[in-house]
Amino acid sequence: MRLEGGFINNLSKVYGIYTLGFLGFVILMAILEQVGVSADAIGWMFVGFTIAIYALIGVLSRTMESGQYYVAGREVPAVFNGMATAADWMSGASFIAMAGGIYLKGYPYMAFLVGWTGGYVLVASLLAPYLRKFGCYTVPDFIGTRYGGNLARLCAVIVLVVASFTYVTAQITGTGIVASRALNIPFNVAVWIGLAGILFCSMLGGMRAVTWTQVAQYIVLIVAYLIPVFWMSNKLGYGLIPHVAQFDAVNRVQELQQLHQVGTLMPTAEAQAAAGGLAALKVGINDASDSLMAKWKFFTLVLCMMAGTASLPHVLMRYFTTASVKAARQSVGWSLVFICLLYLTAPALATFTKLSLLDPNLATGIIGKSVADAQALDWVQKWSSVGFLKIVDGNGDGILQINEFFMKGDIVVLATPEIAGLPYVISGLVAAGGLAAAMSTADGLLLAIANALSHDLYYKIIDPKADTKTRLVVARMLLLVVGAAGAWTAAQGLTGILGAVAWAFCFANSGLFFPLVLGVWWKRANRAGAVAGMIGGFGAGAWYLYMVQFGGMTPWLGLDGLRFGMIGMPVSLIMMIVVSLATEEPDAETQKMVDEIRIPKGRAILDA
Amino acid sequence: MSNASDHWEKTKSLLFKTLAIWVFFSFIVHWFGNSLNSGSFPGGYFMAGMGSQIAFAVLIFWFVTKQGQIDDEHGVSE
Repeated sequence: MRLEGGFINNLSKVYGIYTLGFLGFVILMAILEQVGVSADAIGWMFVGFTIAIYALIGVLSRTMESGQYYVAGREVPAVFNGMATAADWMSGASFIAMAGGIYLKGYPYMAFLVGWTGGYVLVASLLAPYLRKFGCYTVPDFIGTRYGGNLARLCAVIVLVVASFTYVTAQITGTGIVASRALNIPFNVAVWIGLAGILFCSMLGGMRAVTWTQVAQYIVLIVAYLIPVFWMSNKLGYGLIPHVAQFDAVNRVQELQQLHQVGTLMPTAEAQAAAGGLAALKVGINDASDSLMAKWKFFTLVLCMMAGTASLPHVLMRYFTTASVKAARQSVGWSLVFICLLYLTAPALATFTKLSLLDPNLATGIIGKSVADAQALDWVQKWSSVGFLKIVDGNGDGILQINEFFMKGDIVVLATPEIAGLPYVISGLVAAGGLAAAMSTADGLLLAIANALSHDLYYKIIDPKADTKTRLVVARMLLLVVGAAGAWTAAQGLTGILGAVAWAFCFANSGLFFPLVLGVWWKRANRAGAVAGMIGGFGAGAWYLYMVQFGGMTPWLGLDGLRFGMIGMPVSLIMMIVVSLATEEPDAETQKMVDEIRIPKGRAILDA
Repeated sequence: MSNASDHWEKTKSLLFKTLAIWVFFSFIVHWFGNSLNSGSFPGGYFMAGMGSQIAFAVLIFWFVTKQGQIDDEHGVSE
């Protein structure tokens, strides 16, 4: 942007106008719906308009300076960086899958809510300010400089690429799901359209462009998530604020669970076979178990997601863009505030959707009523036709029981406006929000991968003499290649959104958590220890995942594929400590460097 | 004790306090999830779905303030 200083100083005004403009657009769409414009056209306009805005911001933020390309010029204010981080962080899994998970799996699933927020305490206290002081461009940059040597840097690059690529594939899949539904196009075409939008945002302006599109995407996704929930809470008469009103709804759902025999009436084997991968509601809304195994599973998931949060490079690198160390710390707090706006709403959304379906006094309550009536509903037909929902009258009595209604968790968010009988404009809005969530995370991840490859692998290891222009051209080429590889993998349809996301967290925490944390907090940690910690932790975690997921091994102590960080992390920690102590301590220069990153004052270590 | 090592001792001590509170809201409180649900208010559901998240956000801002004070006292802030 030509008025750079002017832009930074006027952020509140710029994004204020943008927010009003977006709300105006939503109202315009609502009016168009009333005058009879088709649902398909409204879906197209929502998706087209929002992607066009992101692409425009991406093009306006183009740059040929490496400091702008890699760290947005280190001038992003704490609050706006918090907003960008929230969009970067909240992916298709948070926006599309989370409420559905709470709906279908109940209390144990809320471990994700705890894990995906508490991780920020670790980011704020253990890492973000120190990495900001360090002044690196990428996460492997820190590992490579703190421990020294190309091997350590290379190990970090490999862990980063595996974790982020697993994650980005899930996000491009999410983009494909939303775009294919909203635009009525085949999934494997939608995936490539989504990728084109993602690349437009990041190609020309790198981190700078991604930062300012992520802020714009946050605003769209949060508006899209909140409006339907507030609407439902009020429409159902539970109260103005869904977050407060949901507790009465929880109690009401618990009464209805008795009525519908949730938890006792299980799907028959034939019905489940007919429904394939879809699931019926089998657990209560709030069954916190007292069994040790249930607690262990809850805690291990919480821990894996938290440590993963603090090791995922696309999140950590957002704190490289603030103007100061103090701003980096504050920015972590703001990130969590903006994330909580959505996370605190997810349980309410799941609860009100459940209430809408289960309460026989409501027109929307289809459970316990006639199968023929349910199958005549528009939304049931629409979502059945795309394989997200199936009604199987197992006992043939013509009444829809709880164990005869099968669904994919994702539709809790995507179809709730229709389930609750809200106008179509809300569905279009939700589609735009889901797209914003998946695109913003995919942007951050693709950039993290491409930057690690261009900065750490190409510039630092292969060709240290490369000039800025060559480096930035290489970075963009890599972005294209990695993006295409991600879209190709997503089009094969190999992974569900959530499975792959949890894997990414475990890959990251197995390989990077301890090398990063001990790099700041333990001066004695040295190169050999870090390399052993990365290879050992990542190797052990990956081996365990392979054996449990594909090798037919029985999980140890209930540690399934979502929790393989519980194997990788201890191995990483022990290897790192043992090998560090068995080898020479780091030289005086490295120890001095660690002293310097521990205080905010003074020059950055890497003043690139 | 030198200024730098005093600063680091205080920083470490703040870290341990922060992590202790973090452990409480991440794990300990959810150990009692079922007991918290026993009244008419679904307390276990509240803590897992809202309570811990709010506590984490407050904790971070508290930590930032305290760390800022430590930095200022030792003259090492930017």
